[in-house]
Amino acid sequence: MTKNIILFCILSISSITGFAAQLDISDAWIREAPPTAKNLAGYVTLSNKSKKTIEINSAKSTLFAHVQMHVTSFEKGMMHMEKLKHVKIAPGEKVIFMPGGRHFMLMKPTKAIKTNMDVPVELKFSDGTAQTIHFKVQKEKPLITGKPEKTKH
Amino acid sequence: MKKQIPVFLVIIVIAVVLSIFYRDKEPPLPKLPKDLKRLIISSPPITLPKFTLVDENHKPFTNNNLMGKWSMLFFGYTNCPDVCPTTMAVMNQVSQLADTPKDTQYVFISVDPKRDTPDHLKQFTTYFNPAFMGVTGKRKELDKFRDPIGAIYSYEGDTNSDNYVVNHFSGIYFIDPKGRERAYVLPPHSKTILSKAYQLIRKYYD
Repeated sequence: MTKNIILFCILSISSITGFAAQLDISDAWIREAPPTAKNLAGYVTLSNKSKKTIEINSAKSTLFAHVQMHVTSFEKGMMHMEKLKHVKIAPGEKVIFMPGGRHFMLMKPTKAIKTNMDVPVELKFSDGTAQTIHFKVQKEKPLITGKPEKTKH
Repeated sequence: MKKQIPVFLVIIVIAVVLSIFYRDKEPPLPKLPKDLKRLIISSPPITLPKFTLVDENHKPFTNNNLMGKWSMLFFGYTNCPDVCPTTMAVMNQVSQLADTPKDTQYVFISVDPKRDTPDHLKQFTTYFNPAFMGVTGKRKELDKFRDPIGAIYSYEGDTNSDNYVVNHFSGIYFIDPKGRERAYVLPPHSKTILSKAYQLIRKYYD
Protein backbone atom coordinates (compact mmCIF):
# COMPACT_ATOMS: atom_id res chain seq x y z
CA MET A 1 0.00 0.00 0.00
CA THR A 2 2.69 2.48 1.03
CA LYS A 3 4.60 1.38 -2.05
CA ASN A 4 1.62 2.26 -4.17
CA ILE A 5 1.27 5.65 -2.53
CA ILE A 6 4.94 6.42 -3.09
CA LEU A 7 4.65 5.29 -6.69
CA PHE A 8 1.57 7.44 -7.13
CA CYS A 9 3.41 10.43 -5.69
CA ILE A 10 6.40 9.89 -7.95
CA LEU A 11 4.15 9.54 -10.97
CA SER A 12 2.18 12.66 -10.19
CA ILE A 13 5.29 14.73 -9.54
CA SER A 14 6.85 13.57 -12.80
CA SER A 15 3.67 14.32 -14.69
CA ILE A 16 3.52 17.81 -13.20
CA THR A 17 7.10 18.54 -14.16
CA GLY A 18 6.32 17.03 -17.55
CA PHE A 19 3.49 19.52 -17.99
CA ALA A 20 5.36 22.55 -16.77
CA ALA A 21 7.72 24.84 -18.68
CA GLN A 22 7.36 23.40 -22.14
CA LEU A 23 8.31 26.73 -23.65
CA ASP A 24 11.28 28.86 -22.81
CA ILE A 25 9.96 32.35 -22.11
CA SER A 26 11.99 35.54 -22.39
CA ASP A 27 11.47 39.30 -22.75
CA ALA A 28 7.80 39.23 -21.79
CA TRP A 29 6.54 42.80 -21.62
CA ILE A 30 3.45 44.91 -22.15
CA ARG A 31 3.60 48.50 -23.30
CA GLU A 32 1.94 50.65 -20.67
CA ALA A 33 -1.01 52.24 -22.39
CA PRO A 34 -2.74 55.61 -22.15
CA PRO A 35 -5.55 55.73 -19.57
CA THR A 36 -8.13 55.54 -22.36
CA ALA A 37 -6.85 52.24 -23.73
CA LYS A 38 -9.25 49.34 -23.94
CA ASN A 39 -6.71 47.07 -25.59
CA LEU A 40 -3.08 46.46 -24.79
CA ALA A 41 -0.46 44.39 -26.54
CA GLY A 42 1.83 41.80 -24.96
CA TYR A 43 5.20 40.94 -26.48
CA VAL A 44 7.39 37.91 -25.72
CA THR A 45 9.90 35.47 -27.15
CA LEU A 46 8.84 31.82 -26.92
CA SER A 47 11.36 29.05 -27.65
CA ASN A 48 10.48 25.40 -27.98
CA LYS A 49 13.33 23.40 -26.53
CA SER A 50 11.32 20.18 -26.38
CA LYS A 51 11.31 17.47 -29.03
CA LYS A 52 7.73 17.90 -30.23
CA THR A 53 5.78 20.71 -31.88
CA ILE A 54 3.90 22.89 -29.42
CA GLU A 55 0.65 24.46 -30.51
CA ILE A 56 -0.87 27.36 -28.58
CA ASN A 57 -4.64 27.22 -28.92
CA SER A 58 -5.80 29.96 -26.61
CA ALA A 59 -4.77 32.38 -23.89
CA LYS A 60 -6.49 33.97 -20.92
CA SER A 61 -5.75 36.31 -18.04
CA THR A 62 -7.54 37.21 -14.85
CA LEU A 63 -6.70 40.87 -15.53
CA PHE A 64 -8.45 41.02 -18.93
CA ALA A 65 -11.85 40.04 -20.28
CA HIS A 66 -10.31 38.41 -23.35
CA VAL A 67 -6.86 37.56 -24.64
CA GLN A 68 -6.31 36.79 -28.31
CA MET A 69 -3.30 36.16 -30.46
CA HIS A 70 -3.03 38.64 -33.32
CA VAL A 71 -0.66 39.46 -36.10
CA THR A 72 -0.19 42.89 -37.60
CA SER A 73 0.67 42.76 -41.26
CA PHE A 74 1.45 45.33 -43.88
CA GLU A 75 -0.70 44.74 -46.95
CA LYS A 76 -1.49 47.01 -49.87
CA GLY A 77 -0.13 49.96 -47.92
CA MET A 78 -2.31 49.28 -44.87
CA MET A 79 -1.73 47.81 -41.46
CA HIS A 80 -4.07 44.90 -40.83
CA MET A 81 -4.69 43.03 -37.64
CA GLU A 82 -5.59 39.44 -37.99
CA LYS A 83 -6.64 37.01 -35.28
CA LEU A 84 -4.52 33.88 -35.07
CA LYS A 85 -6.40 30.71 -34.11
CA HIS A 86 -3.24 28.77 -33.30
CA VAL A 87 0.45 29.45 -33.07
CA LYS A 88 2.65 26.43 -33.76
CA ILE A 89 6.24 26.27 -32.63
CA ALA A 90 8.36 23.46 -34.05
CA PRO A 91 11.05 21.75 -31.92
CA GLY A 92 14.12 23.96 -31.66
CA GLU A 93 12.26 26.94 -33.13
CA LYS A 94 11.34 30.22 -31.52
CA VAL A 95 8.52 32.62 -32.17
CA ILE A 96 8.86 36.30 -31.39
CA PHE A 97 5.83 38.38 -30.49
CA MET A 98 6.93 41.97 -31.15
CA PRO A 99 5.64 45.45 -32.02
CA GLY A 100 4.29 45.52 -35.56
CA GLY A 101 4.11 41.71 -35.74
CA ARG A 102 2.56 38.96 -33.67
CA HIS A 103 1.20 40.09 -30.33
CA PHE A 104 -1.08 39.03 -27.53
CA MET A 105 -4.05 41.34 -27.74
CA LEU A 106 -5.21 41.97 -24.19
CA MET A 107 -8.77 43.25 -24.26
CA LYS A 108 -10.79 45.15 -21.66
CA PRO A 109 -8.62 45.30 -18.53
CA THR A 110 -10.49 44.40 -15.33
CA LYS A 111 -8.32 46.86 -13.41
CA ALA A 112 -5.88 49.67 -14.21
CA ILE A 113 -2.70 48.28 -15.75
CA LYS A 114 0.31 50.26 -14.55
CA THR A 115 4.07 50.24 -14.99
CA ASN A 116 5.91 47.40 -13.22
CA MET A 117 2.75 45.34 -12.74
CA ASP A 118 2.98 41.61 -13.26
CA VAL A 119 0.37 40.38 -15.74
CA PRO A 120 -0.03 36.59 -15.83
CA VAL A 121 -1.37 35.13 -19.07
CA GLU A 122 -2.13 31.45 -19.25
CA LEU A 123 -1.49 29.68 -22.55
CA LYS A 124 -3.46 26.54 -23.40
CA PHE A 125 -1.72 24.02 -25.62
CA SER A 126 -3.29 21.54 -28.03
CA ASP A 127 -2.28 18.59 -25.82
CA GLY A 128 -4.40 20.00 -23.00
CA THR A 129 -1.50 21.32 -20.92
CA ALA A 130 -1.01 24.95 -19.95
CA GLN A 131 1.76 27.38 -19.13
CA THR A 132 1.72 30.87 -17.67
CA ILE A 133 3.67 33.83 -19.04
CA HIS A 134 4.40 36.66 -16.61
CA PHE A 135 4.42 39.93 -18.53
CA LYS A 136 5.97 43.01 -17.01
CA VAL A 137 4.29 46.33 -17.77
CA GLN A 138 6.82 48.87 -19.03
CA LYS A 139 6.76 52.24 -20.70
CA GLU A 140 9.36 51.32 -23.25
CA LYS A 141 10.68 48.17 -24.80
CA PRO A 142 13.16 46.50 -22.43
CA LEU A 143 16.63 45.65 -23.60
CA ILE A 144 16.12 42.47 -25.52
CA THR A 145 18.32 39.65 -24.35
CA GLY A 146 17.88 37.66 -27.55
CA LYS A 147 18.42 38.77 -31.13
CA PRO A 148 17.75 42.38 -32.05
CA GLU A 149 14.33 43.06 -33.50
CA LYS A 150 14.07 42.75 -37.26
CA THR A 151 10.95 42.60 -39.34
CA LYS A 152 10.71 41.01 -42.72
CA HIS A 153 7.93 41.76 -45.14
CA MET B 1 11.99 102.54 -83.53
CA LYS B 2 8.85 100.65 -84.44
CA LYS B 3 10.83 97.40 -84.62
CA GLN B 4 12.49 97.86 -81.22
CA ILE B 5 9.25 97.73 -79.23
CA PRO B 6 8.32 94.14 -80.08
CA VAL B 7 11.87 92.94 -79.28
CA PHE B 8 11.70 94.66 -75.91
CA LEU B 9 8.32 93.06 -75.25
CA VAL B 10 9.55 89.64 -76.29
CA ILE B 11 12.42 89.89 -73.83
CA ILE B 12 10.02 90.78 -71.02
CA VAL B 13 7.67 87.94 -71.92
CA ILE B 14 10.58 85.46 -71.98
CA ALA B 15 11.83 86.76 -68.64
CA VAL B 16 8.37 86.40 -67.06
CA VAL B 17 7.89 82.91 -68.48
CA LEU B 18 11.34 81.83 -67.29
CA SER B 19 10.80 83.24 -63.83
CA ILE B 20 7.47 81.41 -63.50
CA PHE B 21 9.04 78.23 -64.81
CA TYR B 22 11.99 78.35 -62.43
CA ARG B 23 10.15 79.66 -59.41
CA ASP B 24 8.57 76.33 -58.48
CA LYS B 25 11.06 74.11 -60.17
CA GLU B 26 11.73 71.06 -58.07
CA PRO B 27 15.31 70.22 -57.17
CA PRO B 28 16.34 66.69 -58.19
CA LEU B 29 15.55 64.00 -55.61
CA PRO B 30 18.20 63.73 -52.90
CA LYS B 31 20.32 60.60 -52.89
CA LEU B 32 19.05 58.26 -50.20
CA PRO B 33 21.36 56.10 -48.12
CA LYS B 34 20.58 52.36 -48.08
CA ASP B 35 18.90 52.40 -44.69
CA LEU B 36 16.38 55.02 -45.85
CA LYS B 37 14.66 52.86 -48.46
CA ARG B 38 11.41 53.31 -46.57
CA LEU B 39 11.51 57.09 -47.04
CA ILE B 40 9.24 58.02 -49.96
CA ILE B 41 9.57 61.59 -51.25
CA SER B 42 6.80 63.38 -53.14
CA SER B 43 8.31 65.47 -55.91
CA PRO B 44 6.60 67.80 -56.53
CA PRO B 45 4.99 68.00 -53.08
CA ILE B 46 1.27 67.29 -52.79
CA THR B 47 -0.95 70.27 -51.97
CA LEU B 48 -3.74 69.35 -49.58
CA PRO B 49 -7.28 70.44 -50.47
CA LYS B 50 -9.16 72.68 -48.02
CA PHE B 51 -10.30 70.74 -44.97
CA THR B 52 -11.80 71.52 -41.56
CA LEU B 53 -11.12 69.05 -38.78
CA VAL B 54 -11.37 69.45 -35.01
CA ASP B 55 -8.49 69.30 -32.54
CA GLU B 56 -8.27 67.83 -29.04
CA ASN B 57 -9.22 71.22 -27.56
CA HIS B 58 -12.45 71.31 -29.62
CA LYS B 59 -10.94 74.00 -31.88
CA PRO B 60 -11.04 73.86 -35.68
CA PHE B 61 -7.98 72.36 -37.33
CA THR B 62 -7.59 73.55 -40.92
CA ASN B 63 -4.89 73.96 -43.57
CA ASN B 64 -3.76 77.07 -41.66
CA ASN B 65 -2.64 74.88 -38.77
CA LEU B 66 -0.08 73.26 -41.07
CA MET B 67 1.36 76.56 -42.37
CA GLY B 68 4.62 78.17 -41.30
CA LYS B 69 6.20 75.11 -39.71
CA TRP B 70 7.06 71.52 -40.49
CA SER B 71 4.71 68.84 -39.18
CA MET B 72 4.89 65.11 -38.63
CA LEU B 73 1.54 63.39 -39.10
CA PHE B 74 0.37 59.94 -38.17
CA PHE B 75 -3.06 58.43 -38.86
CA GLY B 76 -4.53 55.85 -36.47
CA TYR B 77 -7.08 55.28 -33.72
CA THR B 78 -6.75 55.18 -29.95
CA ASN B 79 -8.13 51.66 -29.52
CA CYS B 80 -5.22 50.37 -31.58
CA PRO B 81 -3.11 48.21 -29.26
CA ASP B 82 0.04 47.59 -31.25
CA VAL B 83 1.07 49.88 -34.09
CA CYS B 84 -0.31 53.24 -32.86
CA PRO B 85 1.16 53.24 -29.34
CA THR B 86 4.45 51.96 -30.77
CA THR B 87 4.53 54.72 -33.39
CA MET B 88 3.55 57.42 -30.90
CA ALA B 89 6.33 56.28 -28.59
CA VAL B 90 8.83 56.41 -31.48
CA MET B 91 7.69 59.92 -32.46
CA ASN B 92 8.10 61.02 -28.86
CA GLN B 93 11.64 59.62 -28.72
CA VAL B 94 12.51 61.42 -31.97
CA SER B 95 11.02 64.68 -30.70
CA GLN B 96 13.41 64.55 -27.76
CA LEU B 97 16.60 63.94 -29.74
CA ALA B 98 19.04 66.86 -29.79
CA ASP B 99 19.38 66.56 -33.60
CA THR B 100 15.67 66.87 -34.27
CA PRO B 101 14.67 70.43 -35.29
CA LYS B 102 12.60 71.83 -32.45
CA ASP B 103 10.23 73.79 -34.70
CA THR B 104 8.25 70.67 -35.48
CA GLN B 105 4.58 70.03 -34.85
CA TYR B 106 3.46 66.44 -34.12
CA VAL B 107 -0.10 65.52 -35.06
CA PHE B 108 -2.04 62.32 -34.48
CA ILE B 109 -5.10 62.07 -36.73
CA SER B 110 -7.78 59.62 -35.67
CA VAL B 111 -9.72 57.98 -38.49
CA ASP B 112 -12.15 56.62 -35.89
CA PRO B 113 -14.14 59.76 -35.01
CA LYS B 114 -17.03 57.71 -33.65
CA ARG B 115 -15.03 56.50 -30.65
CA ASP B 116 -12.24 59.10 -30.57
CA THR B 117 -13.81 62.27 -29.23
CA PRO B 118 -11.54 65.32 -28.78
CA ASP B 119 -11.38 64.65 -25.01
CA HIS B 120 -10.44 61.05 -25.61
CA LEU B 121 -7.78 62.12 -28.10
CA LYS B 122 -6.31 64.60 -25.64
CA GLN B 123 -5.83 61.90 -23.03
CA PHE B 124 -4.18 59.69 -25.63
CA THR B 125 -1.71 62.24 -27.06
CA THR B 126 -0.91 63.78 -23.66
CA TYR B 127 0.09 60.38 -22.37
CA PHE B 128 2.86 60.19 -24.99
CA ASN B 129 3.80 63.88 -25.08
CA PRO B 130 1.72 66.86 -23.88
CA ALA B 131 2.88 68.87 -26.91
CA PHE B 132 1.47 66.35 -29.39
CA MET B 133 -1.82 67.35 -30.99
CA GLY B 134 -4.74 65.01 -31.53
CA VAL B 135 -7.07 65.74 -34.43
CA THR B 136 -10.15 64.11 -35.88
CA GLY B 137 -13.25 65.19 -37.76
CA LYS B 138 -16.20 64.19 -39.87
CA ARG B 139 -15.36 61.34 -42.17
CA LYS B 140 -16.04 63.49 -45.24
CA GLU B 141 -13.46 66.05 -44.05
CA LEU B 142 -11.00 63.35 -43.03
CA ASP B 143 -11.32 61.79 -46.46
CA LYS B 144 -10.66 65.11 -48.19
CA PHE B 145 -7.47 65.41 -46.21
CA ARG B 146 -6.10 61.88 -46.42
CA ASP B 147 -7.19 60.88 -49.90
CA PRO B 148 -4.58 62.82 -51.97
CA ILE B 149 -1.75 61.51 -49.79
CA GLY B 150 -2.91 57.90 -49.85
CA ALA B 151 -3.61 57.44 -46.15
CA ILE B 152 -6.20 54.72 -46.62
CA TYR B 153 -8.20 53.08 -43.83
CA SER B 154 -11.09 50.65 -43.43
CA TYR B 155 -13.27 49.32 -40.63
CA GLU B 156 -13.42 45.64 -39.84
CA GLY B 157 -16.11 44.11 -37.66
CA ASP B 158 -19.38 45.55 -36.41
CA THR B 159 -19.05 49.33 -36.23
CA ASN B 160 -22.20 49.46 -34.10
CA SER B 161 -20.38 47.52 -31.41
CA ASP B 162 -17.34 48.67 -29.48
CA ASN B 163 -15.09 45.94 -30.77
CA TYR B 164 -14.35 46.82 -34.36
CA VAL B 165 -10.84 47.16 -35.67
CA VAL B 166 -9.57 49.95 -37.91
CA ASN B 167 -7.08 48.93 -40.56
CA HIS B 168 -5.05 51.94 -41.53
CA PHE B 169 -2.04 53.16 -43.42
CA SER B 170 0.69 53.66 -40.89
CA GLY B 171 3.37 55.69 -42.59
CA ILE B 172 4.55 58.90 -40.89
CA TYR B 173 4.13 61.98 -43.09
CA PHE B 174 6.31 65.09 -43.25
CA ILE B 175 4.33 68.22 -44.14
CA ASP B 176 6.28 71.30 -45.26
CA PRO B 177 5.65 74.88 -44.02
CA LYS B 178 3.44 75.53 -47.04
CA GLY B 179 1.11 72.79 -45.82
CA ARG B 180 2.13 70.35 -48.56
CA GLU B 181 2.94 66.67 -48.17
CA ARG B 182 6.65 66.33 -48.86
CA ALA B 183 7.51 62.77 -47.82
CA TYR B 184 6.54 59.80 -45.69
CA VAL B 185 8.34 56.98 -43.93
CA LEU B 186 6.92 53.46 -44.15
CA PRO B 187 6.71 51.18 -41.10
CA PRO B 188 8.08 49.40 -39.15
CA HIS B 189 9.16 52.59 -37.39
CA SER B 190 12.30 53.11 -35.37
CA LYS B 191 13.79 56.12 -33.66
CA THR B 192 16.96 55.90 -35.76
CA ILE B 193 15.30 55.68 -39.18
CA LEU B 194 12.62 58.29 -38.49
CA SER B 195 15.13 60.77 -37.10
CA LYS B 196 17.54 60.26 -39.99
CA ALA B 197 14.77 60.56 -42.59
CA TYR B 198 13.37 63.73 -41.05
CA GLN B 199 16.76 65.42 -40.80
CA LEU B 200 17.51 64.59 -44.42
CA ILE B 201 14.22 66.07 -45.61
CA ARG B 202 14.67 69.20 -43.50
CA LYS B 203 18.24 69.78 -44.67
CA TYR B 204 17.33 69.23 -48.31
CA TYR B 205 14.04 71.10 -48.61
CA ASP B 206 14.17 73.76 -45.88
